[in-house]
Amino acid sequence: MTNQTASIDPFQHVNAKSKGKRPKYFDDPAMEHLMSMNLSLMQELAVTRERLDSLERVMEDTGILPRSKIESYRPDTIAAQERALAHRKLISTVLRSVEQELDGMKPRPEGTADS
Amino acid sequence: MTHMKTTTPPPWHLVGKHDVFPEADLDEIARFNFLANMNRYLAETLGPGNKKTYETRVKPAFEKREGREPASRHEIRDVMNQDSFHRVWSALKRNTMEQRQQAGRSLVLRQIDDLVNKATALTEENGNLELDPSLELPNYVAGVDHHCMPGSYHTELIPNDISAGANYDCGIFVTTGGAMGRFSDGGGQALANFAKNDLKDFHPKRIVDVGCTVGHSLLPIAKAFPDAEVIGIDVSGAVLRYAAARAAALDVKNISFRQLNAEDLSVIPDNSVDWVQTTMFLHETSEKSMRKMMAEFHRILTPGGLMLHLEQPSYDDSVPLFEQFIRDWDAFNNNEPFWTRLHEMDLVAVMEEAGFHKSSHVEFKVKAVPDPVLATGDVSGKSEDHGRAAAWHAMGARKEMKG
Repeated sequence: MTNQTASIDPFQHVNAKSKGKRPKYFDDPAMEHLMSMNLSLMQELAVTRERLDSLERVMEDTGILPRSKIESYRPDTIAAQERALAHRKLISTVLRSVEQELDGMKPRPEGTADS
Repeated sequence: MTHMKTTTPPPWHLVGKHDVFPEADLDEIARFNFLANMNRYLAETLGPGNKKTYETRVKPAFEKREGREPASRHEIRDVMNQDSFHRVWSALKRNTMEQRQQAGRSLVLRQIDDLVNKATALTEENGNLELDPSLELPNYVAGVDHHCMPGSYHTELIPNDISAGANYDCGIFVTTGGAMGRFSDGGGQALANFAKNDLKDFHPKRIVDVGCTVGHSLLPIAKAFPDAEVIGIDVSGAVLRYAAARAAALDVKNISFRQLNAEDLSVIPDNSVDWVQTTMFLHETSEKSMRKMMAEFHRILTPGGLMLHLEQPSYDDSVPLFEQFIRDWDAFNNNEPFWTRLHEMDLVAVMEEAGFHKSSHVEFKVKAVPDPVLATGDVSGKSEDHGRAAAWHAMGARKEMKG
């Protein structure tokens, strides 16, 4: 799928910024990143969905597996548990920074009042 | 939210391909499909929200504070840039363009050596390219990367690079939602039809297209006038190499490409060109350079020769201030620094100053010729994407006949 070329490393050039001042859309610079990251993630989700769609259609077209078979699939207990764990792992991966903040909170010494 | 009937842009895999067109894998195609649909959504579904937020809260707040209506598109921009909806819409639109560049560059650069080899072979075989590596880049190209293209039209990452041209060619179908056809030549086709059908006794023997980039608009003109000598001019070798290879790959033989700055066309003799054309190019220059170019266009044209420029309409008094503001978006968000000034200039006066009689002025609307394969129908209608629809304003003049 990737025929890397010899003369340049695309990774070093793909993300180049265009020359010229980039407008500020939000008061907090971090928001600019969050917006960009969100839209890129939406794009990559769309790309993954299109590939899955291709996969299902090609399987059906070539008589390997009808799409209805995929649609009606229900996991058995073990498979369901594996999938639940996969969800849990993904959630934890994405919420890393929130977990880290929680980890950093020290319990208050006895008797101190809320500020 | 009310929706008009949802329309979708044509899938990217239908884009017109040729021997130097980059090859895309399944995910790269999907990425372009997403971005084309994102553009359509931003234009049709969220786009009208800008007017709505202006009418319902931005303008009333301005009037309450100032005791008057906003008096210019710049005042509207200042207050709209504080509005949360417009900020999000603008940020989404800017990011979509940046992602389109990222997607195109990652697709092109992974296969750049193959593309360069193919292009070099095709161009050498056809001898349709004349480069001048010593040509100095004009400031308006060197200073800013137009429409957020990293490296703009001219940056060369490797010897004989064509990546700027290849990236432009594969991505314009995304930006326009296929509105200019599979080969993004619907505008050029419309111009060719105009010259053939609407102009009596116009039989151009020599045609020059200035700022031709990869030749999207010029190829249909060359095909419509197969006996004419057709020359594409640009300051960038990176797009011209691709243009020459693309023309050869698409078997258009009466065309050649030259690296020149149109402010100085001294290699082209006086009174020797029958038609000089620019298509969505003037707004990427500067006021000073544009005036110099106009004088050069007048000089090289034959008596009776045609000069035509395709642009978006000027902001005259008939264009409401809000529409001027939204049409101006690209100037401030899409690296188009001359856009806002150009559209308030009196181009008829500029042409007159260059020697074209006011009485010979021509002005008309141009719509891209629809592509029968894409079946997009009339693509220039009400869902116009503020300056990106495949509909333009043609302005120009005929050079006076010598008595």
